[in-house]
Amino acid sequence: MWTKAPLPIYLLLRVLPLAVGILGGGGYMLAEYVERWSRNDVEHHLDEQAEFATKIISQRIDNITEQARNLARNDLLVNGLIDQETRHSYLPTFFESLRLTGPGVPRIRLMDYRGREIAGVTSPAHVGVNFVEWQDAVSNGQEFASVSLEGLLVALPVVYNGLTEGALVIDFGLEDFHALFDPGALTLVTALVDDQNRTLRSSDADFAEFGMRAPKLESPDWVQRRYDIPGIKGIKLITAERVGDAFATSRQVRNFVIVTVLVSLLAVVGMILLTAFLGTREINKLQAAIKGVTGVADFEHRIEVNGPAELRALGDNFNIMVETLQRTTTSKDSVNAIIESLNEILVVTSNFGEIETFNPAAEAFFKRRGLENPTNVAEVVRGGVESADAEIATLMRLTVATGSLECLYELDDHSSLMIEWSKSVLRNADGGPGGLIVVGKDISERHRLDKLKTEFISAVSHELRTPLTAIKGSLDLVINGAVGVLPEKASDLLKLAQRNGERLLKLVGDLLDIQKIEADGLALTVEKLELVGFVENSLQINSAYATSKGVSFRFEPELADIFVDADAQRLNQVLANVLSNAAKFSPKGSAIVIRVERDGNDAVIAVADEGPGISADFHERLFDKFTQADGSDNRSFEGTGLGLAISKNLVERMGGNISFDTEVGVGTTFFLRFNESAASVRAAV
Amino acid sequence: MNKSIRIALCAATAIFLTTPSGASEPIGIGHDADMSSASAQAGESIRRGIVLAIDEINDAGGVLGRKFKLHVRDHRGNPARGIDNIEELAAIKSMVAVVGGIHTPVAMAELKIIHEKKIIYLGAWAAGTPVVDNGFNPNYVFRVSVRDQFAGGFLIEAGQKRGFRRFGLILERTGWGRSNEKSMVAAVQKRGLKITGTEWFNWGVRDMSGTVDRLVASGAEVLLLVANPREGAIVVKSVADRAADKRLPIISHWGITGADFPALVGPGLFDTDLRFLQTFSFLTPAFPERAKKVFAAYSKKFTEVKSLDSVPSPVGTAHAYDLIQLLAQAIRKAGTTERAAVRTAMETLGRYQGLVRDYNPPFTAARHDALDATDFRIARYDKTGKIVPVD
Repeated sequence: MWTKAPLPIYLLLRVLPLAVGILGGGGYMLAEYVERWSRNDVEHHLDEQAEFATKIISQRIDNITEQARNLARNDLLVNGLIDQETRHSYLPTFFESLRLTGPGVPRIRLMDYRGREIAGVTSPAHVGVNFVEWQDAVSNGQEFASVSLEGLLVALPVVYNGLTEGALVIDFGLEDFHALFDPGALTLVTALVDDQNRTLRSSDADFAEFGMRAPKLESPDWVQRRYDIPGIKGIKLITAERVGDAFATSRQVRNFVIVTVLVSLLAVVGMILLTAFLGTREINKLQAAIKGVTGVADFEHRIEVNGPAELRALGDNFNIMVETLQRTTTSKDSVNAIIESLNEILVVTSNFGEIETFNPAAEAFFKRRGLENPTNVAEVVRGGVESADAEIATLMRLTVATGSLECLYELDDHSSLMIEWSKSVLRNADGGPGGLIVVGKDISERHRLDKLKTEFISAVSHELRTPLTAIKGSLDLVINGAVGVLPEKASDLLKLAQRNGERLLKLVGDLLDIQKIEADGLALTVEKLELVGFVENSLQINSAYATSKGVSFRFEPELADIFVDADAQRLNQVLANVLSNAAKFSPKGSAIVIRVERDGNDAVIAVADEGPGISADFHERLFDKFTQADGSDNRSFEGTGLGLAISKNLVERMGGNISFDTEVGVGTTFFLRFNESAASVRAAV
Repeated sequence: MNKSIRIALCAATAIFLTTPSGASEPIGIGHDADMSSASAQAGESIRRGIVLAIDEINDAGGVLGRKFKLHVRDHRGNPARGIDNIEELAAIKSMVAVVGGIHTPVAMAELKIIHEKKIIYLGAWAAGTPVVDNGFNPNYVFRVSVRDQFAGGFLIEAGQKRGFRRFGLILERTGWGRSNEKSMVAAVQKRGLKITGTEWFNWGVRDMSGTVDRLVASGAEVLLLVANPREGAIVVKSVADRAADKRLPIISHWGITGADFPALVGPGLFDTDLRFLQTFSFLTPAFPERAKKVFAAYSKKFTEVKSLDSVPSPVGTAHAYDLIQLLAQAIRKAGTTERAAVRTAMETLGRYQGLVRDYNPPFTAARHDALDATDFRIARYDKTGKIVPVD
């Protein structure tokens, strides 16, 4: 297929037929037009001269005919038909005395009614009289003139009493004839031919010689036109011009057009080839450069493209591209170096988890796990002590952007590895998933330390609580007067000790709770609770604290008989925490509104305060451990910072959740949401 | 048998009887004259004479048991046609004689072929003396008409009788003109009179006022005109166009009567004093009984002619009538239609009482003209254009 041919051939085949068509067609039409115009011009010229010549000749013939007509009307001729003596004695002399025209001597004869000569001059006849030809005409009273190789013959009826009784025949020899038919100085060839196309007269011997046949009308050498001469039968006037002369101009134009067309075509071919060559050269330059980039990754080379703007732009863009590619490749190298040196396991997979690449840390992990060329990342993650397939599947899910999973691997050397797996979904250019990056972080050490810390705190707390309880009990007894009335100064000091003791005890309790929660060591006793009554009771317990903070509770239960499955002791702990927080942060004299309401299948406890609200940057950390909005040392609100973390943990263990709605300067509402009735709380494993 | 079938049978029988076979073959008579040109009336008058005679003879049983049949040829006054006509007529089997017309030049041109073919030529009008005195021997030309030799003298005499002594001659330039010039010159010399001028004109001439002027200038008292109708009319009109006191009287040969001359000239005719030669007249015939009988046949045959004075060109009819009767006599006498024998018989006919005159004998070997000056008379056109004798 030519559409797949190299550029020069392609261009040639594309352009050349069109160029040949347009130039050839245009040239042909131009040549044809000139030819036609020229032919018209030549024919017009021929017609013009013929008109002129026939007019002259016709006039001369008319002139002769008129003279002959007058002669025929002469009564001497009529009488000659009747009277023999007139015929013999008068007519010859009379005829001889006539001077008709031309340099020669025309022969004048009087014929009888049947064309027999009855009188005439003695000179020999020039023209053999063809009776049939002229007699028909004359006997019908018509005039007749004809030209033959012998000369010109004019015959006229001689009329008596309105009837033709004889004829006057005048014939002119060649001498006269030539004078008669000389149309004068015309630029074209003029000739006279008879019926048989024999030449009677020719102004140019090259065209035809006397008596010879003239070139036919369709002769290739001559352009000619033939005309009748009015009043003369049997001959035609020819005006002719040599084809070479007639069409000299049009031939020149045609040759010029042909040469121009050919030169133009050559030029077109040349231009196409040159353009294609130059274009191809630049394209080849580009191609070599691209090969340099794709083949040996030569990013140093820059090209300089000449030629059309598009090609130059292509070259410039290529250079920019190479530059960008170079930069990208450099940064990619450094990224690779970083990845190579990462301690974390890094595996890049397809959307289906098929491993595409991984780093040396991963390779080391595979080795330690005894995995040989794992193909799917699931194989890598699987095999942990605590890892279930379902969780791995969740991790691999593309629809979840991020995720993490901690897995403990028992190794053959009886050591263990704690790996925290996390994943990121790669995005395609179109925003679709383009694979996964799975990162495994060795958290064995941290895991060990956490465990150590928990054990430590547990041990410490247990060890601290026993003496603290003893201290507090003792202080309570002393303050309550078990040892008698104390001096006021001593009482104050003891009360200070009591308060801090209580605080310390609560801290230790919370720490133990947390420790229990984190170690899943907290067991819940779930029972069906009537929520309104339960909350009411809880409010009574906590109202003393509220009063101490100068705020009041306003309980606005919507409904009664809302039952939830919950641990009563722990729910009280949660409510205490939430209510104390509300009281703590409410301005003095304000009311804290508590509602119990049903929302679909959920039962909701809402605690709304008019406190300062929680700033947005604190929302995420609100339920973390040891968190208070004010992290400064001199905090205005006491607390361990463990309450909400514990509450959240407890509520969730009871199958509910805790959330809040806050607006800075207006207040905060905490929502405790539980499943109504059918609620089942997952017990600790 | 019903009537129409009977008529058809009769017709068939008649056709059978007249079929040319042996004795019952018709005897051919030719008529060669101007039947269509300037003197066509003369040709027609002759044809009527022939037809009347033939009908009469045929009705009486014909000649030698055979009937005459007429073949007409038109020469328009053109000798070339005349010669060809004679040749044609002579080629017709049983052709005995050809009756000629008014034109002396034609007759003269035909003499050669007439004698080559040895066909009898019956001159009914052409008056040229050489037509009869033609030098051929045996002479096949017989004439019942004017002989110019006598006519010249007769016309001069007619002028002299009216007191004219100086004659101006206007003659057509033909054998006929020359024939009259000869006789007129002879007559003038004989009578001691004078020809003041002689003017010749050509056939086809268009204007002759100069001719007349010259003759007037020559001192002519009277014009003698030898012309046929067309040219004669031009002369008469030229005379009529002149002032009344300068209109010379014209005495003309009879050629002008070969057509409806008054019509050709027009009203000018009556401003001139024109007299002309005639022979026979139905008005004053020499033998009224004979004339009456022929006129009866004439008006029966040519019904448009109802009165004696309205017979066109009566001389042609009368001459031709007599010639056919004479020919019939000669055939009877010869007992054959063989032309040489009939010719000889023509010269030896006995007395014949003709329409024009008593022929006694009509011809002799030396005299082939049957009429002489005693048969001549002068006539003129009356106000109605009819020819009336002047005597």
